[in-house]
Amino acid sequence: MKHGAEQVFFKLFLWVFEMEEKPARRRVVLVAVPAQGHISPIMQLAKTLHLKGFSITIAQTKFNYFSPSDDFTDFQFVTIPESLPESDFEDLGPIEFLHKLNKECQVSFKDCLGQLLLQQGNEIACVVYDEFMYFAEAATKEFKLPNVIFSTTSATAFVCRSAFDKLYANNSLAPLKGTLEFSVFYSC
Amino acid sequence: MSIICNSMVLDLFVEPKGQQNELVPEFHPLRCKDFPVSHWASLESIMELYKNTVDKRTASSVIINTASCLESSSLSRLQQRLQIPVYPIGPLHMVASASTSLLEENKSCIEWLNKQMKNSVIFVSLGSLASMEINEVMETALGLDSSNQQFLWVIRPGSVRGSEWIENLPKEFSKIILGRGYIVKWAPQKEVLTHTAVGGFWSHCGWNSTLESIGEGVPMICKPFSSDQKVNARYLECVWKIGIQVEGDLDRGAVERAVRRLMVEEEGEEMRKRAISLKEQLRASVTSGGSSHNSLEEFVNYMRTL
Repeated sequence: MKHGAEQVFFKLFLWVFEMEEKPARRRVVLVAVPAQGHISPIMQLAKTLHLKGFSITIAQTKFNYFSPSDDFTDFQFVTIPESLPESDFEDLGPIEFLHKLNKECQVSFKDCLGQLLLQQGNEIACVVYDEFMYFAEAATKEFKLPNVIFSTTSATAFVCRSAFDKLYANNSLAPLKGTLEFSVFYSC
Repeated sequence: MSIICNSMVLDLFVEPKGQQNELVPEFHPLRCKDFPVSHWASLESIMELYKNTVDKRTASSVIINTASCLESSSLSRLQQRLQIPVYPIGPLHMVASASTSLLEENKSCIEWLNKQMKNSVIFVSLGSLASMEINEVMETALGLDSSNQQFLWVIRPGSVRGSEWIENLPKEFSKIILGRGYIVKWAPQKEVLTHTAVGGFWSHCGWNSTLESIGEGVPMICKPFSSDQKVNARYLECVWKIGIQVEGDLDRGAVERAVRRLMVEEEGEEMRKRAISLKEQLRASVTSGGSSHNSLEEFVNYMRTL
């Protein structure tokens, strides 16, 4: 009897040990901004999470598509369908382009994530999206997936952005107004 | 004489542009003109974009590519504002290096660097988006030339307005390059910054370039173009004190002066020492027991509960 109890305990120990040693390999979906300054840090983040035992899916647009190097052979890459012409970035400039990209991808990313969920089942742990790809949140909400924001700027720049509307409203940024209008006019 | 000088200074401050030099309340040392705006859009359009990027919506947390040794008070403010966990886990290039370039990197510049003396080269790169007028490129080249320093210059195709690459620049440009420079269309930046020959980085101050430069202990000359680059430049100059910002129109005199201050003068050497100290702090933050390392562990533990 005593021997049997020891065996059960040993099996239980092995089971707990295995649970700790080999956690279920969970998948993280990362949504990248199609610009060099954002692709580098999100790929570094993806690699970091991969080293920590997570499977990785990178969702990116066809615009500025990052062709993965040998560093990312274990990663899955998916394209978020969008039909923005290549010339849009040049014609609109980065700010307007990002507005348009977010509008364009909001619906198509839902389809994209839906398909991934069909493929991967319950393996997807969460979606990490670049702060400038905020369209991604709507899809995660629909599929009840946790989501995390990834900021590729400094914390100071983040705080500045978050105070922008208040500073604009109390006229603290008024001196900038003239120069910007001039610049826009100039670039036209 | 002094009265005349004072009134001239005063004149400079009362012209409308002077207002942009005013400090923004509660954002010391940021001035109005350091705020992250872009030349490419109206303030209203920028504001709308920012509202969306800072809206946490249903996010459970925020991960950010920075380290608390660089900006602990901004991180506290961010944490306070967002009311969800903020994990500073950077600089990520020090945690997991990977090849992430969209453009092909020309590695021949490393061989060129191998032939140069320690800390003798200024690396010039304005990132993946900025562009310059031909006269700005020429003023930069002439300033670099008269600084008597060697330079490695990244000129991206399409980044000189009115020229596909450098073919429309005056002949004088090639002469200057042959004398003391080396040009590539795109460089393996992290390798370049690691090289002992590189003593300074003339940069647009994008956040990745800023982190990579500090991560190698290389002081900077800051020439920001838009958005958050201006915030980073101000911090490099006034908070971390490892950068010299070149403001206003580019002219050869200003370029020469900035390069000599950084590469030759005592002031630059002091900046280099501070940059090396920050580099060590960053390395410590991503190794076991460091703040970014701990944040990453916390974040990963949270992810495992999902």
